[in-house]
Amino acid sequence: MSEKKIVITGHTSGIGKAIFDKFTEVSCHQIIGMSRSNGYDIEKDFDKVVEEVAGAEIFINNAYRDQQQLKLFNALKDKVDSMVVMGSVSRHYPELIPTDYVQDKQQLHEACRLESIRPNGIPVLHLDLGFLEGTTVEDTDPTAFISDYNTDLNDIVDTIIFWASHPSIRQVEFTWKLTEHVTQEFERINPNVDLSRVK
Amino acid sequence: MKFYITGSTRGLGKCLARHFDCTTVDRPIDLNTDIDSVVDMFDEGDCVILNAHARQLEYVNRLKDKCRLVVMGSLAAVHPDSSMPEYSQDKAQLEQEVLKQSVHSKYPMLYLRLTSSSYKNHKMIVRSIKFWLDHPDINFIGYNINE
Repeated sequence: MSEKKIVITGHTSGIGKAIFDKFTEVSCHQIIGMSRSNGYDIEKDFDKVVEEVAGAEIFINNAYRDQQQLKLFNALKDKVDSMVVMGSVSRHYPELIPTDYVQDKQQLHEACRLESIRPNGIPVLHLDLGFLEGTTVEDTDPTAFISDYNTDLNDIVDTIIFWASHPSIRQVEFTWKLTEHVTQEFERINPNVDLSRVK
Repeated sequence: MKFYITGSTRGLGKCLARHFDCTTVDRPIDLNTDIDSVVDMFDEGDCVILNAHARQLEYVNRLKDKCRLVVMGSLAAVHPDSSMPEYSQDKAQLEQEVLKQSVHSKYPMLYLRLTSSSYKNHKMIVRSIKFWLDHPDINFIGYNINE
């Protein structure tokens, strides 16, 4: 992968940190992290984030906060060369997890799909991640999954690197397991959940 | 691990068969009628590439706990082709079932949502499968529509 300017939101914890750290190790890349801790709140500092991400060769749209991820997608799809969007397999289960979080992830996926058929649309990689151990979403969205099953962080980083050389790939999805903890999470979010569909 | 492929006489199937040194499952075997004998050909843990559009869903259900599976799907699953309604319907059902089954199958399963352009990009498909072999938690790869 040749030298690229890469920008990622939510780079101080979880997947974002793993990706940021990995790309930082690869010295030929310029990786810029944007998080609340360094003055880039994707909601309060939205305009600043857009302005400074513009021109990136790869924008990793990672941080989740309500509709902000989708807003960033729309604001930046004509201002960056390519984009990686962190989605969630939970979008497949709206009836099991009837939350704003799942709706937001569905809308995000739809936006990526539409971008893939837009004439001259940019390469967008939509990643459907398995239910993740969250560290950043918990304080902003209690309906998000906080699970003990991880999509391996190295798998995610490897997938982004692989995609950078194969930008015709548009969507990668990871499998997940219905562990006891995931089951508890389903029940915490929806006490009336019927898990027969996913067993 | 031994590789097998259905539908290997031309195009992508031929390329994959060569690259992965596959045992080919082609005529005179009839994938539509010889299902039991085809399933019996494979040993536990083999990798089977279901390339031919012939009873794919049935093979997925029969093989999901026996073999690693690569399933060739189509964009028609989500953008139905009005000139081929049955094909589109088959692929839609296949995609839904593979995504569902792959969550709990004993062996990894990969569904490739191919487009007319990606179908011709044999190198990319080979690389995608090789990448999946190293990253078996991936169960779906979709490709660009525009190119």
